[in-house]
Amino acid sequence: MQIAGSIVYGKHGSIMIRQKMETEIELGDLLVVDQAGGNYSILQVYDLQYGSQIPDKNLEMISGMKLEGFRADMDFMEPSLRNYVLAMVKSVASIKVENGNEKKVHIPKTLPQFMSNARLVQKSDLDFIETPKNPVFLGYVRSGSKVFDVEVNLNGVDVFTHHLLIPATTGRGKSNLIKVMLWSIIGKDYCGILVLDPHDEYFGRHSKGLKDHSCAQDNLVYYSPKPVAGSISLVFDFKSVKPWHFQGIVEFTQAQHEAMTVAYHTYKNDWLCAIVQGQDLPNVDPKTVAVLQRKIDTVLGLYLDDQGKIQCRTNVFSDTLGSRTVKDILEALESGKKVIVDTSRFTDEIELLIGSMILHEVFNNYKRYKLEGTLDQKPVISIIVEEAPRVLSQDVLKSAGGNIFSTIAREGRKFKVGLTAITQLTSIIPKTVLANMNTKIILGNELSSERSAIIDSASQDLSTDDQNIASLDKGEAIISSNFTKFAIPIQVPLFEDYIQKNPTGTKPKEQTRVVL
Amino acid sequence: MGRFAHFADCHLGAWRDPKLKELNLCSFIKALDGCVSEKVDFIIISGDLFDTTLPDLAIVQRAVEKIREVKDKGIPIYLTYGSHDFAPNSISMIDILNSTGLFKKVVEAEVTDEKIQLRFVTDSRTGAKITGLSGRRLGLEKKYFEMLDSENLESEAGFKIFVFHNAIIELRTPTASYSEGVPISSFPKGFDYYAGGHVHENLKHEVKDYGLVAFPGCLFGATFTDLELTAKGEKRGFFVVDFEDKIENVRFVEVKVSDIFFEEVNANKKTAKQIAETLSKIAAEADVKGKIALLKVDGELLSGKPSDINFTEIRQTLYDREAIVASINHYNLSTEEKMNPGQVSGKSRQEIEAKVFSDMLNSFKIDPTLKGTLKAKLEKVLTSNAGIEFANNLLNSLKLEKQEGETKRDFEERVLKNTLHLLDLEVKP
Repeated sequence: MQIAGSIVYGKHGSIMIRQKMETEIELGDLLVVDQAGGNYSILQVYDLQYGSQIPDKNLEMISGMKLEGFRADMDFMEPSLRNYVLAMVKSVASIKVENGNEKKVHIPKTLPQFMSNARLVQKSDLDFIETPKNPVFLGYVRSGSKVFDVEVNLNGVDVFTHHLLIPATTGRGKSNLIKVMLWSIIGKDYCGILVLDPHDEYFGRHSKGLKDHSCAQDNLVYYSPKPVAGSISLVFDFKSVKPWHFQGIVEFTQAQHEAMTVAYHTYKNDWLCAIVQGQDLPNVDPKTVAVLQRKIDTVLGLYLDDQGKIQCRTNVFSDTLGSRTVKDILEALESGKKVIVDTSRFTDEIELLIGSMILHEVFNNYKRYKLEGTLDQKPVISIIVEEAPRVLSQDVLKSAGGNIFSTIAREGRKFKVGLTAITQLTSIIPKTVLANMNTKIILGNELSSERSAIIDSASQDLSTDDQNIASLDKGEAIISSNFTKFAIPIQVPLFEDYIQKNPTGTKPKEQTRVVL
Repeated sequence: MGRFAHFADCHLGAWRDPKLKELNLCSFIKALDGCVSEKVDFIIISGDLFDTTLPDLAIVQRAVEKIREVKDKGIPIYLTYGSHDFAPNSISMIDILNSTGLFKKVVEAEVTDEKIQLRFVTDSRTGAKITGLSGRRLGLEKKYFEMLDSENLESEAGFKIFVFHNAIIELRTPTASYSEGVPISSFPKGFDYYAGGHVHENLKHEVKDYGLVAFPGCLFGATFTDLELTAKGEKRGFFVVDFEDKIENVRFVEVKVSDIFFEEVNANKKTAKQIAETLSKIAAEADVKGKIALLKVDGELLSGKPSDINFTEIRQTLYDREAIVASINHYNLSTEEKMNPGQVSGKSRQEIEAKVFSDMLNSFKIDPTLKGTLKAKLEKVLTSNAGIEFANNLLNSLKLEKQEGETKRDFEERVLKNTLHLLDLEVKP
């Protein structure tokens, strides 16, 4: 076994290893220190620095002499002994062989033996990582930049129920991660996932995507305002929209909110049409109604045409179509299907309003199931929302007093409804919300303030991992979760490579006997 | 200017009750008479002319006489299979009558490289171009729509009609009871008129990029749920469409063959005795003479059991008061008293059957030793919603009754063929 270095000094959480010459230890590398009885500790490198037996002043002098041509041929005697690299590591897991051959993972509470050798981790050292029940695939174990053929799957019911946060800056592989995750759970009916897709990138309209999965036909539903043949038009009946769907999504004044409530009480499900048509609202100032009309036109694109008929500029709301859309989406989610809603042609407000309309119904249904005692029979439902601070930031929650997304972030886990929040700006999400996000898949982030917010809210102590996170390359990630014993470094495979490597998931060509 | 009539879901041969069977046929005859009076150039029937593949021959004979009469007046009829009268082995009554030239099945196509290329049938008098797809059981038409080569259909010039027999997902109503349907994006664009069937409600919508999509609903109905809907105000009949190059006018012509008396009673917090009294009072006082009388009672009884109510006697009262047909729907009536653990409630017989099938399917496991095509086929038809629909269809297929004059052997063969076609199997000669 290749020795990577030797423990020289340190303390729990900060151990110094001298790197063996000709071995290259990387930031984020996993090292193993073997112990008696087949037990071993896994250490992770969080920083690297030079070490030398020669005092700094002398080194500076030697360097100067070589640079200025005084003794260009000058070299160290036995350089491998005098100069070296020191790796700062922390113990992340203690593996103990119990009950014969069974490997158990423990949170390390002791130090590895002083001056013991550390070696680079091997695939066989990771065989304690098992595939749990209801797996969701996240990537392969990574040590520095070396990737092992060891899959990391978490229990999807736990992960989705207890919310998932994916923090990263642009171009670090967020969408690829979501695609890989979803690919691994299409056809698994333990979870229904609603994807609000503002870039129309998951279905695979023009390239490989989730539509190419063998189970997509029966388990993937795609709604789009510009549907491809066979997919469903994204359109909602006016009657599906209720005043409370706007709460915390679209900014209305108190007077406008009250006018909407009066309209709902007066005209029931036709309240929105009544406002657009300018019908009388008891005890509401006509000026307020006029402002509301303009606002609904601006936000939803609803207006009266020359014939007095209500039209929708985005065609996403209709008086004749889509009266079952919300119900259909609910049924699909409750039967464990994955529903992609292409919101690429809409404003943020419409996208979030659609999410709000669906989530209100999902949450109400699941609360009812809990009351009836049938919640256990239902799949967990998660909604994937990009740029999560649009609904979860401190400003939004302070000014609007919350919305269905924040309600689910706080209370959803009790009812098997979770959020999968994707964000570039973790720091503007309140700590109380972050604390409820029990799994975080941390991708690369160069912003120090964002890394601090992520580290502060992680499920494991990542206080020494600032450099690790900063140096994560595209597709490299760290999983910090209440459902793992330690923060696992992973490499998320490229979606195209993953589906090629996973041919069982690719749609086989079906022979159809056509009888007309 | 051209004019055509569009109707669907006649379900001839449906109903066990001879009076309802007769009324159903009357609605068809009345609709055809209406088409003659309206002086239409042709008629479109969007599937489910018959309720089964091989229906009651006495009904067929009278329907054929009427169709012949209309045809002799120079009014051609164009139709497709529906989900009820479809036969994969081409042994349905539709095929037999189509071969005699009584009407024209408009689904003409070439199937190449997993693509369906439909051809148009042109109405000789008006020049209207008609094509379409048949309805299939288990939602199989969805696959056909996916295979449809829409390009050549969309590029065809002229007044075009697309005939189909399935629900459209985006157009379904909140209370729709029919199965899922096909998204509008699967249809070829740019037709002037999309003549739909399968949906038993009367709907008409202009859909952007497509055209006018119309479902006339059923002519009479094939279930008590249909009759309830009629009693609640749903009009039954057909569309009459005037056209030149484009649609000029669309009217709905009502076909009414009987008045329906309908009353719904909620049993929540009432005793079986109280409900029996209420129903008896309604039966004794309601004006049901010459009408179809439908009573519906649902909810949870405070005490007593549904079986404590003498429904037979109440039904008899309605008959004594000269109701044409009397029916009491108490499928969704339950009691707060401890129910038999195996008891299932539902709004209709069909719903109860679906629930029972659903329960059974949850515990059903395909033999793990099975492999390959057979396993895949069983998984396809025996799991989830497809399994429930399949079981329902199979049950209906096995409910067929022997016709007068039909030999036992012929009857058995008919039942066997109907059943095999559901399984997509054939008898080897």
